[in-house]
Amino acid sequence: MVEPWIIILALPFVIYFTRTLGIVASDFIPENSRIKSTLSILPICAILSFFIPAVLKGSPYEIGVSAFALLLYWFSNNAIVSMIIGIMGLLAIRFVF
Amino acid sequence: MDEFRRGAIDSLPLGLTAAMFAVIFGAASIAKGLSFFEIMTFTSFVFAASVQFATLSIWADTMPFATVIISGFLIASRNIFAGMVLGHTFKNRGFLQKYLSIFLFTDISYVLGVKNQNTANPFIYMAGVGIMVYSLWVFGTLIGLLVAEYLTAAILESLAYSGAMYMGLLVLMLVKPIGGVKLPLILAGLTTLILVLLDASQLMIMLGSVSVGGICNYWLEPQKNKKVETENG
Repeated sequence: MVEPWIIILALPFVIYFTRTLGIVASDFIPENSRIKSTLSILPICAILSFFIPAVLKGSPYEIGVSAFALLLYWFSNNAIVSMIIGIMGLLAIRFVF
Repeated sequence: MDEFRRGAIDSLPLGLTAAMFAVIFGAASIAKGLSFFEIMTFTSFVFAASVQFATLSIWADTMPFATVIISGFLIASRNIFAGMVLGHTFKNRGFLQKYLSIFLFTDISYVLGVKNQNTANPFIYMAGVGIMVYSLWVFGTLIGLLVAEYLTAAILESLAYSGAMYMGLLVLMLVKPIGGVKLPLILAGLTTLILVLLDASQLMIMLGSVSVGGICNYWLEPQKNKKVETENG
């Protein structure tokens, strides 16, 4: 067990370490279409692995609102409007249901 | 300077969304009992929303060092894969540009960097993105500190769930430039879902998703190239 300030100082090193590790690793990975295409998929898979468990923690209404906001982005390409509508929807659910 | 300005402007939609989470972070930190100095130092140095929220959830007078560091590493480990792609983007850009880029590197700069990797100077472009997002993040946290007393627990809970929506938005932004949802991504998503239902740890879920998606894509890529060659005669 340590005091919070030690955590505040240590965490940036962990984060910069992950970023540096990736950039160093890229020096050893050949750049061809097969590997490039696979590399572009990996960060999406990694974010998916956090997104799916997080979204499943919500109620059916919250999941529905999130799905609507994401569909809105897919078709409109407007991130700000989609997020504002999504957040307003989440707040509405909290106070209506 | 044009590239820098373009990066800063391009990052506004996502940066403002991130700023909303910074407001939530600031308000939630006050609710957890952090001091003004602790919150601003934390947000200025760590500058990683997911890691900050995860750490905040176990914030106390004394904290388990290994647990915080390992969970921080796991959450930030997607940067390893993003760094591999970024490394190729900066391949001919020199040592300094390559490694300086890690300081303001976020999911947003990765998404925009991939979308605009053919710009004249990707380093300056990403610096514009990074500095704008960093400013919005720190400013958002400050606003969160100031409005904390006006936000109820119910509002904070609702806003906290929007973090999941934000991650979904990042996924869609990365999926669009590669031509939409591909089979490897569907399989990676299904693997994640199965592992979640099996109550696997976050590390196992991420490794499973990344392995299935990566192996499937690596295996399918030559077949896709063959098909394109056949179509082109």
